[in-house]
Amino acid sequence: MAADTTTSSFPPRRSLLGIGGVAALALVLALGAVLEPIDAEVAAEGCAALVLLATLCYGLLRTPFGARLTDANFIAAQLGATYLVLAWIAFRLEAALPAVTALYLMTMLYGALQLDRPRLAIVGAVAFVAHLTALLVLRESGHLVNPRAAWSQLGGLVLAYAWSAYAAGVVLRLRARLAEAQRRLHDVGAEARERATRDGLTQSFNRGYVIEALEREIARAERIGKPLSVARVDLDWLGALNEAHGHLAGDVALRTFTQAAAGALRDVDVLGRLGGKEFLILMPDTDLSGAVVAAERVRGAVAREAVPEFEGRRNLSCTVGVAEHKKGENARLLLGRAEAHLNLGKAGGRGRVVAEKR
Amino acid sequence: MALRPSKFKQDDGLSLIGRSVRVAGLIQYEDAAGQTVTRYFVAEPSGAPALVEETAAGFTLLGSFPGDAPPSASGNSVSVMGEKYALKGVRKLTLLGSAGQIPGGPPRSDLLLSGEFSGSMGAVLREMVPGVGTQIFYLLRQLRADDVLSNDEIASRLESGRREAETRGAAEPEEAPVQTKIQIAVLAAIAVLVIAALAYALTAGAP
Repeated sequence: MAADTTTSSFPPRRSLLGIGGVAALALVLALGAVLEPIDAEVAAEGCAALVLLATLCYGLLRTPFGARLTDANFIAAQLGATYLVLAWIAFRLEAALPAVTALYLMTMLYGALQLDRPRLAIVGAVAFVAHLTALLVLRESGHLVNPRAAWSQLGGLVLAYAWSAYAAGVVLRLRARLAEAQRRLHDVGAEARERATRDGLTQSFNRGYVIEALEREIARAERIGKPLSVARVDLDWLGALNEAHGHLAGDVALRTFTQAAAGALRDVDVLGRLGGKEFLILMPDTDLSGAVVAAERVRGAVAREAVPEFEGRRNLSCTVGVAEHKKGENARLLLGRAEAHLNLGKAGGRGRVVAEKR
Repeated sequence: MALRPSKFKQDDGLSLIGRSVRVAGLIQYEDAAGQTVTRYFVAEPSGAPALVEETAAGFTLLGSFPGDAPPSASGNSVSVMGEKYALKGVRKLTLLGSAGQIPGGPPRSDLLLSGEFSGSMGAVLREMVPGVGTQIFYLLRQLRADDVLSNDEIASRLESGRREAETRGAAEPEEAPVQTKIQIAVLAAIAVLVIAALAYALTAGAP
């Protein structure tokens, strides 16, 4: 999958900087050759080396091999190779050292912004060793025309490299902070969306969401002519449990109830907390008899959940009032009918399912 | 007869057990002791309407029963699906007035007999108008003080919560200031040094 993605985004995004960098270096060499500080033969050799390097990188980028590497764009490898080419140019044309220095600076800034610290250190070491070797070989062979200038340029380059690494570190830290801020902003947004639809205690849907879902389901049922049933559920004896064991026990009971009830429902059913100990279950495509079966399943699942003993009770209990949507009926009327049956069940002994008569 | 002062008036917004509702209508009675009994019909944009009664003792939610399966009354007791409720007391309520939308229209009589029955599952209210055959049953649920809050009370609670949060926030130590100035100064010094070194390096190559 990752390989597909990288292949599909190729070549513009991944190779533009590399191709652009090589082109810029080749242009500098060509200009140097035209304006004479660089020997034409050396410039041609440099351009050929750069083209070879670019072709090699292009070929590697075309394969999915790089996608498995942490540095999928071979930036460190490209920069290292470029520094070797520059050291070679410095060796071949000592008189053009100032121009080579400018080329070093160009690549340096790019590398400092693209690489992490270990890679930057390795690439810097490669550049330093390569350039130092070129200068030492020149000196040993007696071709180093202006040693003072050459060594001071090397010192300047080392300082510039250290400085650009430090400056890039500041930029990268700012970039990391920005990424962190964006991630936190995303998390806060996700949490806000979650809070807007979920009940904080039970993690079931909240009143606003479930009422909105009911209106949506009523409209859908009217449109496609399918049945829709609702169940109003009341967790029994919560007040007594709170009094006997405190509100934390009541909170645990509410969460336990929600998990048990949700586990007994289908994926398409919607469970929401209306407030306090009252819940609403939406059952799309379900007629009254099916809803009663589902409500009994919920009641049974809830009744199997244990609670700390109070007033002789050891298990949770809930009362359910069930009603089926009638054509043309709005949410208020449907909820009112379900509530009336819930009241009947509560007054009639609780721990039962009560549905309207057909 | 004019309505007596009550906690809420018609069209007032309030919070009922955590949900935001509006007083669509109200009806007021006086009991035999001269105490005022106010019933609010509260509604919300969606959701079932509710009937809330305010007396000197507090607020009570009156839950309705299905029209096709009402509780059955016999003498001094009421039975709901076999569950028995015994008569606890009777109130003779005299109508004082009404306002707004009253479900079922304006009261047909100035007198209402309201009997409260209690059982192991709670309390049930049975009401009838003398001379009229129909009777209405309600399931009673006593509400706590913070179950019914006016908008002012909610605003006051929010304000006190905000102040508390502010006080907590002021007590917390501020984050240590980022040492950006020092960083910038160091960076600038190194930059000057590097530029000078580079300038020297580049000019040193000139014959």
